[in-house]
This record gives sequence, C-alpha cells and structure tokens, in this order.
Amino acid sequence: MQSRTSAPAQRVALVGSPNAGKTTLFNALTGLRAKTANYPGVTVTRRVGSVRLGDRVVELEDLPGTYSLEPVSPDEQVVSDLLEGKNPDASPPDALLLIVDATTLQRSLVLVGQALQLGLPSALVLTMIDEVEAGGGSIDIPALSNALGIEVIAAVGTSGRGVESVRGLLADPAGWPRPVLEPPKDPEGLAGWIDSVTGRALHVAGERNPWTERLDRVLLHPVIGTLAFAAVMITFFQVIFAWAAPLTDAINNFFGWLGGLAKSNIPNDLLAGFVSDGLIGGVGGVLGFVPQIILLFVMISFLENVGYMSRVALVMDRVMGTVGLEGRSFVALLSSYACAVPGIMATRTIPSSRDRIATILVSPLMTCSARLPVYTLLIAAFVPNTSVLGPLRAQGLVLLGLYLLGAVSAMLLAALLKRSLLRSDNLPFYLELPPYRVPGAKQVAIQAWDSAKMFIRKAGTIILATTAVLWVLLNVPRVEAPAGLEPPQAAAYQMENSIAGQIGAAMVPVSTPLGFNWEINVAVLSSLSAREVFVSTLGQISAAESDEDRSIADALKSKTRPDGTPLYSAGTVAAILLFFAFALQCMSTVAVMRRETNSWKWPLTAFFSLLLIAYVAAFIGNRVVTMIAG
Amino acid sequence: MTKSSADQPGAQLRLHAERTGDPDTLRFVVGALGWSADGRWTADSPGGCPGRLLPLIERGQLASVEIHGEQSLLTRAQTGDRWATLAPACRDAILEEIASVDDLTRARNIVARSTGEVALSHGGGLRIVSLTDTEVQVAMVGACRGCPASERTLRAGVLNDLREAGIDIDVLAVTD
Repeated sequence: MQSRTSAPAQRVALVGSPNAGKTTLFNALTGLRAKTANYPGVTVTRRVGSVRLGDRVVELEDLPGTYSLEPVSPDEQVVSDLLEGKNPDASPPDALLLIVDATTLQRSLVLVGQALQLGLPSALVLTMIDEVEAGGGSIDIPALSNALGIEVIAAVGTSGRGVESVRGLLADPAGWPRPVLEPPKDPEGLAGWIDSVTGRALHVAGERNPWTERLDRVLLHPVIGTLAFAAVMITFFQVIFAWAAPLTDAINNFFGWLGGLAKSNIPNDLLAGFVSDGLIGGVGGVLGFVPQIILLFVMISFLENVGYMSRVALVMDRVMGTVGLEGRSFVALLSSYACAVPGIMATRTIPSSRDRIATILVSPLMTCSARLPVYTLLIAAFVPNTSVLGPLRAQGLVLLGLYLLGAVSAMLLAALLKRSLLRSDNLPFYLELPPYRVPGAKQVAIQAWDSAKMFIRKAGTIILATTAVLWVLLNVPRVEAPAGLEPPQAAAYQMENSIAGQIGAAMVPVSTPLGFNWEINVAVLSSLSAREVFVSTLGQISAAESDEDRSIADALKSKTRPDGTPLYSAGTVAAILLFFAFALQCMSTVAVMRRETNSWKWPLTAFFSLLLIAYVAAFIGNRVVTMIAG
Repeated sequence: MTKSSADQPGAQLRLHAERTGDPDTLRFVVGALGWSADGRWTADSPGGCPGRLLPLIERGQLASVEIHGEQSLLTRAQTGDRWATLAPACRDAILEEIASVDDLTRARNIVARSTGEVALSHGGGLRIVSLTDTEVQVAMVGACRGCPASERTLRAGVLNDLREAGIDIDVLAVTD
C-alpha cells in the first residue's frame, strides 16, 4: 500500500474474529471511504480506508476475521503473516485496534492475547456490549482495561455509541498504554491468563437473548428447521418473480425506447445497428435483470444480517456430513449462490486442502446470480404464470426447482469426489451462532449494493466486450440479402450467413439432440464467457430482427423453425435450462479456480466434466419433456 | 481443557499482572497462590518470604513483596527499575514458587483459605486427606461431619478451588 502523502500516515489495523463487528466499526469510522484491493500474492480482500482527525489522517485497514494468529486456514495465514511482518510486500501496521464481541469475551481473548505478544501499540474495542446488557450481564470495563493493560472502549457501530471515543483514541496510537507484562505464549499459560483476566472483568456473563433461544429451538430443530428453511426459500423465489417483474418491464421499455432513439438518430446504418442492436439490445437486455439481482442480494444480505444464514449452515452441516464435507464448505457454497468467484475465495477458510478442492469443484453448480437472468427470461416467457397452490405460482416453483437442482447436484458431486479422488478425514468444525439481530437497513443496503455493483460492472466489461465481438461476428461478412425480403428477414439472413451464424450452423449436428438451432448455438457458445451473455446475444439478435421495440421474451415466443413449429418448444427450453444448470460458463470462475488451486488441472477438469454433464442432462431433459408435452 | 501434564505444574494457573496507582507497584493476580498466610517482606525483614522471590529482593531489584488476600501478590520495584524485564522475572519466580510446593500442600492451603472459610463460618471444617491424579479425598470435621447438606455444598467449592490452582479433578470422595 503506497501512501500518497509525503509523511506516511499512521496505519492502524482492525483485528478481530469473524462477526465481531469489525466491518461495521470500520464503516462507522471511515464513513465508507474504503478502497478494496487484494493482498500482494494472494486474493484475500484487503479493505483500507482513512479516518480524518483534524489535519491528520490515519489509515485504517480491515483485516479478514480470524479466531487466532496460529493460522489453520489461508485466510488466517494472511492476517498472521501481515502482523508478524512475514509478508515481504506489505509492512506490518503501526498499531492494532482489537475488536472483541462482548458476548464472546472469554473466547475472543485468545486472539487478544496473541496480538498483545506482537508488541505493537494496541487498544481494544468491545462491541455488542448492548447485547450483554440486554441479557442482564455486565462487564467492568475499567477492570478489563486494567487487567489487559491497554485502553478498552465499548462501542456499538450500528448506533454510533462510543465511535467518537474510538476516533479520539486513533489520534495518538504511539501514546497508547502497553501491557505491563506480555500474556504467556504457551497455550495453557494463555488459557490461565484469559481465565484470570475474565475473572476480574466479567461480572455477569448475561443470558442470551430469550428470543434467540426460543427461535433457535424451532429453527435449529432437525425436522422443523429444515422445513422452515424450505419455506424461507420458497418465499424467496416467489418474491423474486412477483416483485421484480414490474421494474424489469420498466427498464426494458426504457432500453427499447433508447434503442429506437439511437436507430433513428444515428445517420450511419452500421453504427446505428451496433449501438441500438448490439450495445442497447445486448447489454441493456442484461441490465433489465438488475432488479432481480438487487432483490436477490437484499434478501441474502437481510437473512445474513438477521443471523439466519449461520443457522442454515448448522442445520445443513448434518447434510454436508453425509456427503463428506463440513459446515465450512456449506458456508462457501452458500456464497456461491451470489457468485462462484467469492464462493471459491471463501473456501480459504477450509483447513483441509482436499475438502477445499472438492468445494471449489462443485461451487460452479450452485445457482449463481448470473444464471438468474437466463432462468427468469426463459421461465417468464415459457412457463405459465398459473397458481399451483394458493399464492404459490408455477414460475417461482420452477425457479426454486432449478436452484434446488444446483444444490443437490453439487452435493452429489461432492459426495462422489470425497469418496474417490479426494478422500480425507473430517476436521472438527465450529460455527458461531450470533444472536438474532434486527439488521441495520444501511448495512443491508450497502452489502446488497456492493454485490449488485459487481453484476453491473460485469455488464460494462466482459458482457459489453463479448457483445461487441459478437456483433462483429454476426455482421461480418456483409452479405446481400435476396431481393424481396422485409428488413427483419433481411437482418436474419445476414446473421445466419455471418461468421457467427456459420459457426452456429456447424454445431447443429451436435446440438440437434438438444433441440438447439444455429441461433441458440451462438448464444450458448458466447455465454461460455459469462452466462448473462446468453441473454445479451438473444437480445441482440431479436433487436436486429425486429423493427418495433418488443421484449426479448416476446421475440423468443414468436420464433419458429423452418417447419413452422415454435423454435422454443418445451423440450428445447428444458434443455437450455438444464444446460445452464450444469455447465461452467464463466471465464472468471475458471480463472479464479486456476489461481486458487494453483494448477490448470482442476479448472480444466471442472470445465470439461461439467460440460459433459450439462450436455447429457440437456439431452435427457429434452427427451423427457418432449415426451410429456407430447 | 486438558489436564496439565505432571512435569509442568502450574502451567494452567490463572495469572495476570496489573498496574496499580503507584507506578512502582505491580499487582500479580494469581488464581490460587497456595500460601498459608498474608505477609510483607523486604530486604530488612525477609523471614518467611516465598523462596523464589527472595533473590529478587536480595539483588535489590524488588523493594518489597506482599501477599494480600488469596489472589493478590504485590511487588514493589526499586525506583528506576524497569518492569519490562522485572515483570517477567517476577512472574517466573511466582510460577516456580507455586511449582515448588507439592500439589497436596498447595491444595490444602487453597482450600483452607476459601471453601474452608465457608465451612468454618458454619461451625464446621474440612481437610484434604489425599490427592491423586484423579481423586481428592476430603474429611469433614466439626459441624460438617455428618451434616447431610455438607457434601453437596462443599463439593463444588473444593473442586473449583483446585481447578483454579491448575489441579483438574472430577472425583471427590468423603472419608472419615
């Protein structure tokens, strides 16, 4: 990290366990002026922000959560290497702000004790003190400060309590009091030190929130808890369809209008086509799914902040155990619901390297948000919006089914891998169950927006680039359409005879069993870069073939085969959905797999085996659905 | 928590150091010192000073050592001496001191000063008869003897005292 000012700013690192409230405090102190980057050499995210104190600036660094400085996972390795000065590319910070969740004081002092041995100026921020108090507990903060020999401040990041005191403290890290005697290094001595310190500071441990106990009795129950999880998921997918659809329509209308505007106002025909069909029709088509994506992330972020996700991980730990993976793997797989890239990075918390590789290999099967545009486009167009049971509608259920398919096949593949190539013993796993909390709206909004931004950025980069290349491939070489064709048919003729069209046609022998024609082939092929490109390609093709601005869904519905039957028959739609459920169509995922496993062996294995599975599943799906649909 | 190995007595002992109002005085809070009585020792009156701490006084590094209550050991440095090296030296001396006393004696001292006091206030008393790796045998005396509630009320107290002293045992047997 290079400092821009001539005199280097003081660097203070936030050190604490996961869920200790580090990030909330970081946001409260820096006012969200955070820059994110990766640690040199590894891909653990590094968040740095600055705190202004009068004319001085202190640089604050939010380190990954860690339970101990004796690392068991790669994530924790980064923290301990950095703090111990073993990272050749990043110097250790000037001071440490130790963040401790007051409800888990005793356990958290392991990390505090280890951090104090580093000899850096340290101060402790006690978070969640309001929860200890709500449970009738109390912590003697002056006694804790005296026993530790460092400054202790109680702060609640969400309400702002104590944040000003922390800010005041940051003005002079060099002047912080140091412990008079370092905590012992040997684990047993450290345990004795912790007991001794908590004996002085912890007056009453406090009861856990009674609501937490009551809710957990239901939500952690093996049967009722699983049913509750199913109910939450069903609601989740119904909501995605019911609430996002009007917004999607509005966005699509906007881009339709914009495309028409471009077509009529850009004098050069070729350029007008590129802008209105390629860029607006393609990228705009993908951006139409932003409401779904935001809704998805708001709900995930809400469930996470309420504390429900860790319960799900615990309930699922039993299931994971049967396939030979552990709860940590589930947490990583859960992140893959948003996107496999952070999901794969989250596997760094898994100590066993075999479990880690197994989790990495199956994470692309989890239904990431990039599949959502493809799924919702096809479901909205081809699954009737009928009620199945009361408020449960067919569209939401099909979407739920696809998500379940992803999860179940990930489990099955994991079980297969763990019984063959990647056999290993299970390591103990413990999971933190924070009390249920009413999440701060701001926190949820920030997290959801951070994730949605990633989707939008992708639309502006990889999807935009693929769309542009594809536009060229669909328009080169220029061919002279036979006389007498209407403009839409002429456009279709041009595309069918372009380079892309010819590639698509060449693949027809392979794709016919799935019910794909040249056009779907082109869309599927282009979606190997990123799944959403499927939508942008179809958007591009249908924008070119149509004069009026109609939605992609309507365009797909009107497509026919040469024999007059609908192109998107039930069998073909099923085949596309199944193909997308299994195939690894995401270059970012392949790249991150390569980086995280440090070899091409695993990403290539995953790519080709998932492609094969996708093909077979699509073939079977096509046959079965065609048979049922008659 | 695992039981501490036999060759490392006191390794699990509760101990931390605190500053006091006086910068020259440091308080060691020790889970279970196992001394039989309070006292204050200086170079002029070293009699009865815990043996491992005595050299620090004799070398002139510590002005005084004071045991005050069951958990508190105060060390007062000679003016000008730095705690940076002296505090670890004091800790090591305390740990060695505790290790030098055999477990039975230590257990007797500790129990006498905490749970024993409780028993005394009820007109009774208790005495540790023997101590093995797994079992402690306690004899009840006075009013405690034959009292149906005594075993239940004292059992937890004794086991807790011993645990604080780093003696981890779950079986308590009452003998005559």
